[in-house]
Amino acid sequence: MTIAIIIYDQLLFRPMVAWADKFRSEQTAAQVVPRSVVLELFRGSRLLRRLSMSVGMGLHKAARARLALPSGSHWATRWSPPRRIVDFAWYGVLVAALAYIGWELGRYARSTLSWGDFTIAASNGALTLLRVAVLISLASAIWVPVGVAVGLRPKLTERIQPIAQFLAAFPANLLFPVAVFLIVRFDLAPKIWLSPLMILGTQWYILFNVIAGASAFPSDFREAAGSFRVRPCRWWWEVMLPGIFPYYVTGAVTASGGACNASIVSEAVSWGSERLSASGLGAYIAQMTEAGDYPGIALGIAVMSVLVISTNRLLWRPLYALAERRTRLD
Amino acid sequence: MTASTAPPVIDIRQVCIAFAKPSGKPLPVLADIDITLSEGEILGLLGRSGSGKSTLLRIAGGHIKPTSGAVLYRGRPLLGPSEGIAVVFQTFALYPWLTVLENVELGLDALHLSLDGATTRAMSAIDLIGLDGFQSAYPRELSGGMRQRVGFARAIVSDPVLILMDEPFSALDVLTAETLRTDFLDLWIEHQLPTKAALMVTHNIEEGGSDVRPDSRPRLQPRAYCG
Repeated sequence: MTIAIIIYDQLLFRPMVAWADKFRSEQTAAQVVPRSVVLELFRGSRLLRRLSMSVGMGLHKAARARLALPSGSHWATRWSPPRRIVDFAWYGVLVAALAYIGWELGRYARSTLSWGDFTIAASNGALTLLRVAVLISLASAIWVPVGVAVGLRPKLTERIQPIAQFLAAFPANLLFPVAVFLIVRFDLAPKIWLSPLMILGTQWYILFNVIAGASAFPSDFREAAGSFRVRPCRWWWEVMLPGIFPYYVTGAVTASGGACNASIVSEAVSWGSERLSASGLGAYIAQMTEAGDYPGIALGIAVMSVLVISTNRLLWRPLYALAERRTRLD
Repeated sequence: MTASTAPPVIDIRQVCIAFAKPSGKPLPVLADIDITLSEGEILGLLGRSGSGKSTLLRIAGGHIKPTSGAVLYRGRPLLGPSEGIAVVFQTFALYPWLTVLENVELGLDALHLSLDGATTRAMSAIDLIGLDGFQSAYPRELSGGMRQRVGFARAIVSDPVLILMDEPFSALDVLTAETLRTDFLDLWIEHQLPTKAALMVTHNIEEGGSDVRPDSRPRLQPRAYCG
């Protein structure tokens, strides 16, 4: 695993970073330029150059080739029904299909699930949502400052990026047994101490995106803040955080969605004979899966879908729109 | 003029700077630059693009450390961005998420003023530069000329001794630039600004003034011009 990630970094990622440097839209030259041995090999070696040239020429030709529509005029002149009628028919089909599915689902659910099941699933969902919210806040409090510190230093970015990549690619559930052992050993409350497991794998999205945001922060903005010697508190709240906000939102959306998914494996963990359950939607789904209770599984997944979609719609999208509006200059 | 007794506002001595090329070799940009800017002077840095004017300005602002040589600000070595030096940017560098007033107040942050004091000073700078009534607008709602006025307001709000300007008018159309330039010079001539000196990068020979000898050599060797 480690070796695969290192090869991946050296052969693919590092050359990309070094090459992508030419797309920086900056007025000023960077004082530290990312470098890559592989990219220099590509740029320097005659054989590789010729090879990539021929591929490039092929692509150029392909891009300029004319794609004639076979008998295009014939299609355009044929009669087609008015657009509104087609739309109407299509929506009609959709509504009918939805109504049928809803009715079938309702019938099925009434025969197998009680209201008690719904309230259990909903309260578990609320617990998981609370966990995700707390964990995302904690992860943000840690990784946003780190990401900014790294992203503003190109040299450090180059060094940290592969490490963060390794951590993100590292299967987080390998660590679960350790957590179980520690919780049992120190007699900790699983409801609290199992929670961090769900963000182990997804917190890195916040870090990645914040690093990306900080390294894309316009150098003029940094220089202006530097020349007016803006004090740290103001620098964070009025200069840096608004600047990386859109990137942070992207990272947090991914991380919170991922954490919801990870709850299925992280809220109910077993290692050998030790079984720990933190109760929550993930534990509920895991438990229903183990019992082979299809209606239960369906209910759990439905609640999770509702949670994820509604947080996206009600929280992240408005935040995204706000970020978009505030950071735009034109 | 008191220039004979007071130390020069900024004194750049034998400054050289080299950037790293992708190959790692140093690329010399400036060699043996000497500039002395005394009180009451506006110096235009004129040269073809790529000759290192902006780099020199950033050295004067303490943003870049020269590879060799020394920069003295009022007789003391300049170690980084310093109190009394303000910058006007070619790209305006206004934060789009802050209003005009907040952007200008950012220029006062280092002075540890009270909230009311900062607002009062920012408002008077905004008035002085002719943006009265626009304090709660966002930069995106302003025209290019007005944005650069905000840039000027932010620079003068802290009563700087030295103003550094990096092609402040080149992103504006000719008429807007002319108006803004005239307004700035009026403030300067009427001594409404406490500013003692200004260093301006330009590629416009008219801006440079009458005593300018454009240098066609690849390395910048600026000539002083007193305004």
